[in-house]
Amino acid sequence: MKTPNFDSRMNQPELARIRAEIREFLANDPSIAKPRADSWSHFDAAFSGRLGRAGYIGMTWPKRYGGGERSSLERYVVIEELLAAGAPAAAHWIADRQTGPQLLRFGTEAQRQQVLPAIARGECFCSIGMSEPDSGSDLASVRTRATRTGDGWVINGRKIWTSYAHQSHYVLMLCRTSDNPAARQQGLSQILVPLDVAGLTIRPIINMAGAHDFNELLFEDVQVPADALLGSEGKGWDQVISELAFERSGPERFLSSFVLLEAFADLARQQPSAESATLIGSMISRLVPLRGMSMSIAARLGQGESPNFEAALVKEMGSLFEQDIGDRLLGEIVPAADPTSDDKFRRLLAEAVLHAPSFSIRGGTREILRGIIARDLGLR
Amino acid sequence: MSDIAMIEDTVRRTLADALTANVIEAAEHGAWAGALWERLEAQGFLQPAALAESGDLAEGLEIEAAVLRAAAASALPLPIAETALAGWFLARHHLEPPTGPLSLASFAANEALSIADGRVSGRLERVPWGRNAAGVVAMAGGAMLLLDPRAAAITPGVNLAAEPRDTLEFSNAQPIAIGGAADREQMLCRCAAVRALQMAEAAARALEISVEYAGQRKQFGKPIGGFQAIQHQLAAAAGEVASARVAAQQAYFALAAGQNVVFACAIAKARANDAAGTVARIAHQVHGAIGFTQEYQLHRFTRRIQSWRGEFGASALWNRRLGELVLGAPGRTLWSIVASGI
Repeated sequence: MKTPNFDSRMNQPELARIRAEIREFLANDPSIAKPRADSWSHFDAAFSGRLGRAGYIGMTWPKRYGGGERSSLERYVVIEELLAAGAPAAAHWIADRQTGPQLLRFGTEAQRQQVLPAIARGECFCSIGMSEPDSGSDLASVRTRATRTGDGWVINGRKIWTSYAHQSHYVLMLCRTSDNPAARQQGLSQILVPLDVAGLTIRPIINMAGAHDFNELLFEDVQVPADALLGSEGKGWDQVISELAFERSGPERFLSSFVLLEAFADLARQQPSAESATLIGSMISRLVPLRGMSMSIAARLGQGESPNFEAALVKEMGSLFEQDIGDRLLGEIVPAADPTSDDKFRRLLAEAVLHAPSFSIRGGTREILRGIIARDLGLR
Repeated sequence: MSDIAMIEDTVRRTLADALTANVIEAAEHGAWAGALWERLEAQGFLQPAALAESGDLAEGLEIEAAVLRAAAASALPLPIAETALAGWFLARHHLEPPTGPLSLASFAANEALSIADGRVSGRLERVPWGRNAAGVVAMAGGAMLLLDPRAAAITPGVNLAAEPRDTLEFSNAQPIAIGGAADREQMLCRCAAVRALQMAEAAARALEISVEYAGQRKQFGKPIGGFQAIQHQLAAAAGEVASARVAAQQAYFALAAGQNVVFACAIAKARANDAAGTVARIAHQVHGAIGFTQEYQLHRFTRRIQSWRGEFGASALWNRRLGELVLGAPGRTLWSIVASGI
């Protein structure tokens, strides 16, 4: 049985400066007038542009690609402050968190030069092309095919649940490039496709909160040049797996509903009661250790490690926590949630409850994550 | 191996060797494991913080945590944590600890001892190993005291794990020593951090035993650990254990730094309390009937973590205290407290 390794001792004073800087930036940004629950699924290109120009996107990347050469913990502080403030961070979120780091790890110099500086400026946004209509948790079953031609690739197939493909610039696809029924994980490749390419149809899917976030992408003889391949042909599975510690361990795995808890604290200060104090205490006693776990992973990611077991534990505990905030407030305290209300608390409660089902699905379902934890416990 | 890891390993190996089935069985029936106690005493593990070569607070706490982790992972049926804590408090007040096992009051808000003309009256409930202790650290009139249980009327009791929890009734008793002024909540926090650490480690051991069992026990032609229904329960338990361990770690860091002490200790105990219930339930469910038997070892851990939930603050107490602490901080948002402490 593997024991997870968390060292929650952090040098906070070192991070105080960057925290003060991002707080000042946010305090002066117009987006903060309306904080959002699940803020990293609220798309606002203008906000991401302001953030990028201020140096808060691609913070850890080399300066020659437009990055800031900051530490992974400094970046961590910035993203947790965005979430805690409810800032609309969806536009750049995927590019900053995973597409950019994938390009840095596996991209050619030309690919990096072409895309990374624009991402860092907050002008270039990316989507994830993994799930398909028949491939969700069983990701190795993807069927969208990229076939080599004389001077490039032709792509045919469908991708689904592709957040903000209608407003982004690239989708990083996981495609089948060869067949080996005995080893499905082989023969997959990652290809970076511009979203304005001919033959690509983007259809909206409206989510239960009434928002257009998801899309379905239909690829019909879409042609991309040979250098759209990211990394090695046939190594797409390994490359995708290496993304996952980045995708699963961050503060967005437990802070999606935090603004709601903050709004509830504002109400509880006006009308103090033992019940509301106890509820807030019970949430804080789960949040603070989770944050310690998540920051410990950020430090290890910054040293080039891939703590996938620990990341799975953060997402397991984190999604339960962020789902419970809205659940407990709705069930125990204030039953009136209203997504159209001018009252901040009622609106945030509605947003948190309506978005909550996605928290334990996106980025790997609870069942997939528990399977990963079970494997590291030695059960499979 | 670092010094700290070496100490933890030494205690683990000592206990693996000395904590025999006979010793465990006798302790379950109230016998004092004297030979084992003397062995731990000879190795210096009863005042672990005093092993710090630097004399530095942080190093002392690290050694204490290492010793208590090892003891909890072995379900040691001796008051090693209480003795370490009592010794720690006495050292803060420059008082010499008496030889032998030590214990503590609960430091609950409603625990009332009175002191008049240097003599103490009142009742301490559920004192761990009160009947065996050479001294009990308590508070009266805002000062820390060391009381002699032999000067009290003792009503024996036990917790779910058959560990002694005795009621001591003092009537005009002469304390062994009177220390200086002490803060009740700070003492409670210090004790809560210790219990939280013990709970996290005992829960980790219950999980480990369950994972081993699931890998060995076969039904329907394969180890039950091969079934998703079992895997997912154990994965959920692993999340609880990991966060309880981190919370205890954070409480020890807070104690070492002397910052965020109430905040971090409240979190650690509340987290351990809640994790304990989930882990105990899952560990037993995975084991089926065998885990419910006297002869199987799982209950030594689950009975302890269930008992310890209520000691030095149940979740209702700490969650409310934590909520009032964060809501009552003038001009602070919830987030600023989560990010920087209080």
